[in-house]
Formats: sequence, C-alpha cells, structure tokens
Amino acid sequence: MKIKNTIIRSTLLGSLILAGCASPQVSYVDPNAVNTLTTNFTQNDLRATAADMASALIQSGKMGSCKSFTISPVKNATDQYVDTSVMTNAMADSLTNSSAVRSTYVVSVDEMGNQVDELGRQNQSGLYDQSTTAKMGKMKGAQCRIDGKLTSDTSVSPNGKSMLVAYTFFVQVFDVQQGAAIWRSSKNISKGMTK
Amino acid sequence: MKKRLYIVGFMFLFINGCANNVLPTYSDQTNTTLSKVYTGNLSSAMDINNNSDDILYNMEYGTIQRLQSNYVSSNLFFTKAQNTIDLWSANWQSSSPSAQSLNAVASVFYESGTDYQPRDYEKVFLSTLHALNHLGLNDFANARIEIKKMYQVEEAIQNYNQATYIQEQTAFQKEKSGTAASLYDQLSVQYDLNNKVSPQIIALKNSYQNAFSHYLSGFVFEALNEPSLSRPGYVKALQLQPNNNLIQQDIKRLDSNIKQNSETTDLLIVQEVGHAPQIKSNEIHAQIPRNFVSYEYASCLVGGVTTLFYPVLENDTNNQELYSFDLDGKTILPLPMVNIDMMAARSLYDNKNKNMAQSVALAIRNIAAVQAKCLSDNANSFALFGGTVVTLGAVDIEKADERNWNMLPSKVNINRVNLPYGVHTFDITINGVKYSKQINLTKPYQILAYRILGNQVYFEPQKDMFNKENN
Repeated sequence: MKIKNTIIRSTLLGSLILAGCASPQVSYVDPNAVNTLTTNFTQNDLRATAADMASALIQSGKMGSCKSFTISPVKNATDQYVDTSVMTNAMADSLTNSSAVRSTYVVSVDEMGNQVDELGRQNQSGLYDQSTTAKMGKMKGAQCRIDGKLTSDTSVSPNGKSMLVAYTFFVQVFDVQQGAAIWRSSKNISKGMTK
Repeated sequence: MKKRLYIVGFMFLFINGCANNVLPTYSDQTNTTLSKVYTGNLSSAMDINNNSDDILYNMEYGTIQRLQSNYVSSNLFFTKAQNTIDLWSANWQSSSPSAQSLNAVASVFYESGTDYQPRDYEKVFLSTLHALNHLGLNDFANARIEIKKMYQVEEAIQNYNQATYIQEQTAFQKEKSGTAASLYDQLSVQYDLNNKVSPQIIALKNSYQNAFSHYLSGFVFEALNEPSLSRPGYVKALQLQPNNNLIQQDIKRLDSNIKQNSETTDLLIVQEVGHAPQIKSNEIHAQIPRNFVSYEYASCLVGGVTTLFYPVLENDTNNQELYSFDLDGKTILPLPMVNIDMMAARSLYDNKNKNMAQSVALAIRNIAAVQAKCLSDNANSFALFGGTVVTLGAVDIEKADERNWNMLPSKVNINRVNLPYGVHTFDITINGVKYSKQINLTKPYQILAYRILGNQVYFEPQKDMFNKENN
C-alpha cells in the first residue's frame, strides 16, 4: 500500500507541472511605489535619491552663485547594472524646473555630440538659409559643474541568510573657472534582505 | 485496486501531455552533428526545421548558423529559443512557494519525455551569443538589448534559486528519508563516484554566471558611451575572474576617463574552443528495499532489483584550452574567461538532488507498473491500462536526461588590442593548419570572434570586416 501513496503523490506533482503553464497576468502599478523586491538600486531609488539631492542643493541657496550650470554624467561605482543617466536627468529636471533656481542649464558632455552635429548641419550642410541658423561659437559655457557618484557596499551575515547593501550618492558642485567646490553632500540608502 | 490502475494510466497521460520533444538518443544525434562540424561540413551538420518549438533544437541550430556567419538566420532560431526563456522568467513567480518546491522535484520526473529545460548557464549564454550575432551585423543597439536580457535572466535565476532552495531541500530530505531512502543512498554513492568535483568547481560562484558575458556587456556599453553600465560589466567579470589583468586594466582606464585615440579601433578578439560536454546516462542496479513493496506483489518483482539512472559528463578532449595567434606578426596568447566544462560540472553538482529524485521517481513508477501487471495477470482486470504501461517500458526513455546545448564552446578566451584603422593580418595555426585573414578596421569598437573545433577554425567576423578575397 505504500507504493500507492507514492503514485498519488507523483500524480499530484504532475498536475503542478501542468498548472505551471498558466500565462502571466499584467497590470499597471504605481511607478512611485516602494519596491522591496530586491536589494538592487531600482529606478525608484534612482529618481528619489536624485530628486532629494537636488532639493538639498536648491535649499542650500548655493546655486544662486551660478549663472549657468551643467551636470556631468553620474558615475556608477557599484557592481550593479544601474543606469545612472536617470539620476543625472532627474537632477537636471529638478534644478531646471525649480522657481528658486535662476541659473540656466547648458548642455552636458553627453549632450554635446548631438549639439555639435546640429550646429554643423545648420552651418555646414549648405541646406539652410543662413539668416535663420544658430551660429557657431555662441554657446554658453557653464559657470558651475555638478558631479555625482553612486557607490555601494554589500555585507552578508556569517550564516548567509541576511544581506545588507549600503548605497551612497555623493554630489559636489564646482565653480568651473576656479575649480573650487562650492557645495558637497551625500545621501545614504541601505537595503536589507533576509532569506 | 482498480483506482490504482487508473492513477498509473493517468500518470502516463500527463507525462506525455506537454511532450513534443522526445529525444531518447540525444548523444547519438550530437555525435553525428559534432563529427560533421569537426570535419568542416557545417551545412549538413543538422537538418533545418523552421517550425520547431524545441528550445534545444533552436539553440543548437542557431549556433550552427552562427558558425557559418549566417547571423540573421541564427537570430531567428535564437529568438525562438529566447521566447521560451522569457516566458519562464515571467512565469515562475506565478507559482506559490509550496508549488515551486514540489515542482522543483517533479519537473525532472520523466524529463526525457518532456520539453527541454535549459540549464541556467545555457540561458545566460543564449543572450550572449545572440548579442554577438548582433555585433556581427554591426548592430550595437540590438546587442545592447540582448546584454540587458542576459543580466536580467541572471537575476531571475538568482531569485528563483533563492525562492526555491529551502523548500526544495526540505522536500528532498523528506523524500530521501522516506521509504525510498536506500535507493537514494545507493544512487548517491555512484553519482559522486562518477561526477568528481574539483575544488575549482566548488570555487565557482555558481553554475550560471560567467565572466565573458559580463565582459562583453562592459564592452558593448563602453562602445555605446554608457560608462555607468559598462563599469559594472567589467566589475562583475572581475569578480568571476579575479586574476585577469585585462579586466583590471579596463576598469582603471574607465575610472580615469581616458579616451582612446581617434582613428583607432579597440578590437575585442574572442576565441571559442571546442564543444560543451556531452551528458551520458549511467545506470546501477539497486536492491529494492523490503519495506517498499506490498506483500501481495513481492513475487512479481524478480530478484528484487530495480535500475537507477544518473548523468555523467563527457568533456571535450579534442582541443587544447588555449591557442596563441599572430596579429601583424606579433604572437599573442589569449586570456581564459570561461570554462564551460566546469560550469556544466557545477550544474550537475548543484542539481544532484533533482537528478536523483528523477531517477528514483522513474524506479518507483516501474515498480508500480510491475505491480499493476501482476494484478492484471492475477485478476485479469488489467485490460484497460495494461497496454499503456507495457508501452512505457518499450520506449527507450528510461535514462538520465542526456540533453544539453552541445554546440556551445568548451572554453572562451579573449584579448583586446588597440590598433590604428586600416588592414591588419590575423594568423592562427591549428595542428599544423594555418588560417590567415586580412581584417579591415574602420570603427572605434570592433569584435573578431572565431571557433576552433579540431583542425577547423570557423571565423565569425563582423560584417565587412574581412577583405573580400578572404571570404
């Protein structure tokens, strides 16, 4: 009779295999909802951290000493595939759209390629009425440059059941001509997971 | 008693419900393919089947197409295979944890009669080879998509393993300490004896992550001027190959923001060697435990012995691990990045419990079938399902699953050099046979890949990289 139980159990397992063929369900979710599915630095973390840092910079009033500014691409010094261009863009958005910031955002290193291509197209292709084209040599230089860097450190408990990942987003603002830092700050986020 | 027979019959039906891929002699098939590939007969190595949904066929045939530089055709087959993996990535979470744990044991039950479940390292390599195909077509944007899939699949594998590990272990321990305990014990001894695990295999971080895929990721993102994604690629590659100087230099270069000189090419040379290990089914004849058999059927189980199956690896022994090559007359030795033999061995090691559960489940089914037949003979009530059970025994599917992606290379080695735009000479001599190519470099980032199989070297260049007279 023992074999009977084994057969029934095997049949149950088989039905579970078939159940696994069901199609996944797709739904819309709140893009700003806290994501606790992973210890990785998620899109939410990227946007929220960058926006927080931009707010801190705005509140410091230091941007008042910059007539124009640019943002260098945020460096990713973690071992995760984090697209930090999201942070760069989120900071540029916050600073540009804030009524408290009067300085002008000018093209960054990343955007320079397209800008140069467009100027070249307008001025050198021979296709445009030169009275309507943007002229070469008229771009505004940035008075201030914003640098950012994301780092991480992972700790695993001796029994391997808990993991803690500590992230630090470090930002500094430089006066380009003087090379002097006029503002520095960092923000920490820690994410833990227990198996 | 009749109920039991219905159950046995039903088992047969569900087992075949999802099967479209019964490949009982997979190693025989791959032997034929490999012998053709090793003698230069790529076009006849495998029959084409554009309508196959078999993921393994699509991976194997896609690789054969890649070896012929038919990247567009190769991508068609790789895409079909990838669809299955995408479905798995999206689907596995939909099962409850308890179902996953049972499924983990059950999914290997009667595996050779079911659709092929790619090994974890194969899932990662599929995206990697797919990315290389796109690079072969000078399509970095689509290569980027495959690279992202590569590390997303890795994450799905990691999540799956984390979610199922404890439940799987618990379920297995329960099985192992049950009535079939002595079958597990007998099988375990032979499994370990014939699948020796070296310290290097144990030292692998896991069975699915490989340094080459992440290095390629770093290279593609660097070429696309996305340093924030390029750096983690190199960092992860270095975590998996900690002593590799090339990777260390790449991270330093990226951190120091040094741009390469204009009118020069960063050339990544990818040397793929041999074929992935084949899997063979071994068997042992194990004593059926006395407490395992119902008394009334004891006389039917002749000798009280059942057969248990387990997989063993047969590594590629036709090729060296590394081959030096000459670039513009200068001899260069590539650096090892991936040893797929070791990854396959680690996979077998990690899946020992599942493989044993499959084998014992088959044995239990066979014992049940014999007992059912016994009842049929005694009470003449076996007419309904008796034929079905006999058919099961007649089909040669009672063995460990021998399927795996054999056309993957055995090793992947790389080099990276910076060369001025223009024509350069690449030479490699294999077993006395010299292969020479003129390569034309015209872009900042390019890749030259090739596969060594015996005396054959199959070049997988980027489109328009070779001068016409080479081809």
